[in-house]
Amino acid sequence: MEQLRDLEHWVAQLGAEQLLSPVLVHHIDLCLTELVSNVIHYGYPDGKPGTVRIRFRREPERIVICIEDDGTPFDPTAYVPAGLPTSLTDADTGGRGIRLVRHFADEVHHLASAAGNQLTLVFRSPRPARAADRGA
Amino acid sequence: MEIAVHELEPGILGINLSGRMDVVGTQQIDLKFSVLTSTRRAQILVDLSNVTFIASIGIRTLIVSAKAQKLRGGSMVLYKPNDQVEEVLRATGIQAIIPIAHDLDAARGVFGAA
Repeated sequence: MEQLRDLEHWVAQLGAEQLLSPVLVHHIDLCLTELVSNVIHYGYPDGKPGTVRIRFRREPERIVICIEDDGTPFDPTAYVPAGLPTSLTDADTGGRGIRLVRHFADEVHHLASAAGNQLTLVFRSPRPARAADRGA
Repeated sequence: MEIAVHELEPGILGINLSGRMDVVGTQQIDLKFSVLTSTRRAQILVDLSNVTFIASIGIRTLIVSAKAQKLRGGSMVLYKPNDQVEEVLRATGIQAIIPIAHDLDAARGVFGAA
């Protein structure tokens, strides 16, 4: 799980380089933290080694992030989170990670591959204003 | 993550958490937090003002302790989360089961009503 620290730093660096808003960086950070934690925890039973690749792409008006792993197939878009808790007594203690991903990512797509899973997250984001635009 | 505890005022235990409450951070404080919040009846104010990030694993820790404290007849309030942390808490509906307060009077009100 120490790799999550590398992921945190990668997201922070990405945000700085791409001039992403702090709110958007937080949403990306949270979604990647939840999903990669899940893959590490559940995707490689019995200590099987594996690889998780994360790629970033900027398109007009949106950020696209692909997570590829070679672990156990799992489709988070098919997972049905429990309803919101109404009492502390009845509240489940876990199972909130996928709910958070669906809440904070604008789109989530899963593709099962021969190797494992390919997950695509989309975050809507206007391009930062260029210096010339800001000075107009 | 770091954890510090003090008696905020008579009858109210203050627990200050600081850092990033993800898998790594939560593992660092989970045992001590659990012992502080679950082993005796108390009114507990969990100060989140220095928590910079919370993931589902951190929310789980808060719920487990709040449940244990409720079984003992006590109560827990989450105090002063920053905007990002509060946004995550509210996205999972936590405010409906563990009150969130942004000032001490509101927290005292929760404890008085519990």
